[in-house]
Amino acid sequence: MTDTRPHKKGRAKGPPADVIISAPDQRLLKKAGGMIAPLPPASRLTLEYRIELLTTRFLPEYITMAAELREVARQPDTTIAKLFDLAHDLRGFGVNAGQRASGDMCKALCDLIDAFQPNAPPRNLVCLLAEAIYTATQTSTEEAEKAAATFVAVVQSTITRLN
Amino acid sequence: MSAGAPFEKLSFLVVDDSRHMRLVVTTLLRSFGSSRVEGARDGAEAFDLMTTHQFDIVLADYLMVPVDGLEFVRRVRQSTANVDASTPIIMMSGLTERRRIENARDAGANEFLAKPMTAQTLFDRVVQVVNHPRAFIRSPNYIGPDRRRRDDPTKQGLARRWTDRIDSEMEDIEL
Repeated sequence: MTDTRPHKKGRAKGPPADVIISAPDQRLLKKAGGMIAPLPPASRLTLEYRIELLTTRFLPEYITMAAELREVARQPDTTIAKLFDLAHDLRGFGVNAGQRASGDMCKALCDLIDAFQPNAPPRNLVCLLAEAIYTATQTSTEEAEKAAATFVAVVQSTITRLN
Repeated sequence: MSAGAPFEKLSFLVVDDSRHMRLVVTTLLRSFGSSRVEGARDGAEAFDLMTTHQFDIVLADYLMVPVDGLEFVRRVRQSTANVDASTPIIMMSGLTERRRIENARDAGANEFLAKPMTAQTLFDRVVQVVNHPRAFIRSPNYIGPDRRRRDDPTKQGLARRWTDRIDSEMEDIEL
């Protein structure tokens, strides 16, 4: 294919002198012995099962982290940055640990803190949210998912109003 | 296509402040066949490790303290001694707003892996890095893999970048 656009005087024909472009490094391709084939479905299922086993092992730790978030939120001298970090950790952990509901709630809390920046969200609201996250880890999946849906909707509505 | 165990000779560094996530990613990479997977708790520890050990691919979480994923990627890319600045880095995060993905790309990350991850998504990102290596750019404003994935031979140099911007702006305009 040729460039059919009209030539503009002074248009660069290549990268400027202070830009160095190195060719794609084929080292990893050589190490892998060539292009890697797609993951076979059977292997994928085995690996997903392995993730499940791991997450079950970590569930008690997850609930402890949720309790810590609740406790930390209650303390008036806790910084919002610390709360954000805890909620963020819990979110990643929760979603990967099969705790989707509380994981989604943690994400909503992070979004809320983000939306309030550079100010802090009202502390009592954060406390309520942290309490709800902890409760979601203690209830059945069905109930937690219902609660999470309401929780996320309320937070989203608050963020929309803020914007 | 590669026969045998393509991951066997590939080494990985997993950087995440969550012990659970490190374990999940490490277990998956070992299950893919890698014989060398190491872990670090944050960007500073990972950077130190990279000064003494060479890794083929690094997977780094976005949000960590005290050195987060973005800062870690920048340190690696701007490194002049000991650390291989062109080491492929896959950024992992549960926060997937467009702004964050663009920040990761502009810091010099090769790929973005959204959490919750599955075995398939992790595999796909690693394979993308191995099977489709990209040119490495060193410019006054950016050091990292070529951010343009499409190879359009009709566009060259600065003009190509300029038109890329115009193209994306045009796409954002609703007609």
